[in-house]
Amino acid sequence: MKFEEFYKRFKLDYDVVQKTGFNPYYPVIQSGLDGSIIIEGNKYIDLVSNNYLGLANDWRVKKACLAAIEKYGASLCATPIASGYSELYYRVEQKLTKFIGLESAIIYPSCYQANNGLFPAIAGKEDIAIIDRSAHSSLIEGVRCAGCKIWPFLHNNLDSLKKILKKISGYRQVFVVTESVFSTEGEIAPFKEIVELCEKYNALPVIDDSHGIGVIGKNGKGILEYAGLRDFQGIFTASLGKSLANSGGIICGRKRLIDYLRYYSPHLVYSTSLPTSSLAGIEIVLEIIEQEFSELSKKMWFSKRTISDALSDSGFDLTDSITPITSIKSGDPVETISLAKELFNNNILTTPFIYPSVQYNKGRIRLIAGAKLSESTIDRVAEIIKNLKR
Amino acid sequence: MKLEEKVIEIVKENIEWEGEININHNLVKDLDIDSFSMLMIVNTLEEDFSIQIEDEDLKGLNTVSDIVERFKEKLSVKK
Repeated sequence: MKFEEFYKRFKLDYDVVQKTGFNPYYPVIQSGLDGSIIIEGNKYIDLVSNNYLGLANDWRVKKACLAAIEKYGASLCATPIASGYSELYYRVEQKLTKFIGLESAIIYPSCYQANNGLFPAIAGKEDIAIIDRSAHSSLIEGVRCAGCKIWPFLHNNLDSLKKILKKISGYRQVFVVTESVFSTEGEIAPFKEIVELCEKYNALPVIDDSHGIGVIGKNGKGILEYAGLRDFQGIFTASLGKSLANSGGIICGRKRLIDYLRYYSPHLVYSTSLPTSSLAGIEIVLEIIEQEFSELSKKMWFSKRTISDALSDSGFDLTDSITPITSIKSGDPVETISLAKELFNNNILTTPFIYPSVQYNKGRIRLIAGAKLSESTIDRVAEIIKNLKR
Repeated sequence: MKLEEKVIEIVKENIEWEGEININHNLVKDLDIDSFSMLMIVNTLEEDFSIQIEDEDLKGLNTVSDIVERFKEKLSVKK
């Protein structure tokens, strides 16, 4: 057979699956997100999705999506630069710009694509990216592709960041890259202080607010609102597939940069545009957030506190999360998958993180309790957790 | 400060580690050093000593002592 040596290189390590008798990845989902998820005909409590505000299956969102499909069809089958830029695309970019409070915004098919595409378009070997060592894969791969110097700093550690900023010189542009809410452990970056350091050392801050937008800030506007940052001069990216309950990603910032990316970002220019159904969904979710964030947020925080307290009281070791993400410190890969299995057997779906997504003995089980969960479901989860005492 | 002490100081400031570090510590098994930690250590050594460290220079480094010895070689070549 041809190319046998090439194909033989690709092996999967099933060691953990064999030891635990459980593979939590790629479950085949048979339902929408309604507080529960159906897998193989069985209902599981949804503590796995990023549906923070519970809007992914909301009738108003589905209605808007269907109306867009009626008008525009399943796809415009083109990139935005060609004929994939609908009036709806333009309108949603304007609304996102206003929501986030920056000059301009551009929508990508995903935030992974946005982050990957951003850095190669704006940075090169004369530049340096100082990046939080726990930043998302999309940001890390993005800076790698740019060919600039990369210098990680200790996670959320301002002293580590400051030491590096003080040491370096001779670069065309210094970027400081981080996330607002870290998706594995749920902490929030000290972003106000990071921006202050950036101002002092003439570094450009780049923030991925994927788990912050629609979640933190008094009105759900994300990290810029949460940190009280007005007149932000850096670059903002975010996923539209978490609390905004659809798909896609955005890059926001100064109009001059956004206009440049429209023409010079291959990840946008050469990729079929986000379907109008997703754009319509985002548009209606923004309206719902403007009107109902306070109520939805209360439900989300109630769910978080109840689950977090139940886990703590039952002896589980949790990360210091002050967001709706609750993360159990679960040890090595076998311990982590075994705990995920125990929860699964009690009809609770969670996200286990094992090496290489995290360091080998720093496995995590993440539970995201969104606003869609009913009080009775949350009580049931708390009861199950108490019976799993550590 | 001796070179050995300086290297240990640089390793310590670039990993989240409580407690003492000695030259016999294994980078992975004892100190949990991954590729990002190593990149931070290398960047600091390069900047503090105005020296260029290539990927080749990082092969076969298992302990803190290995870093010290490899680094001594680089510094003597630079002179």
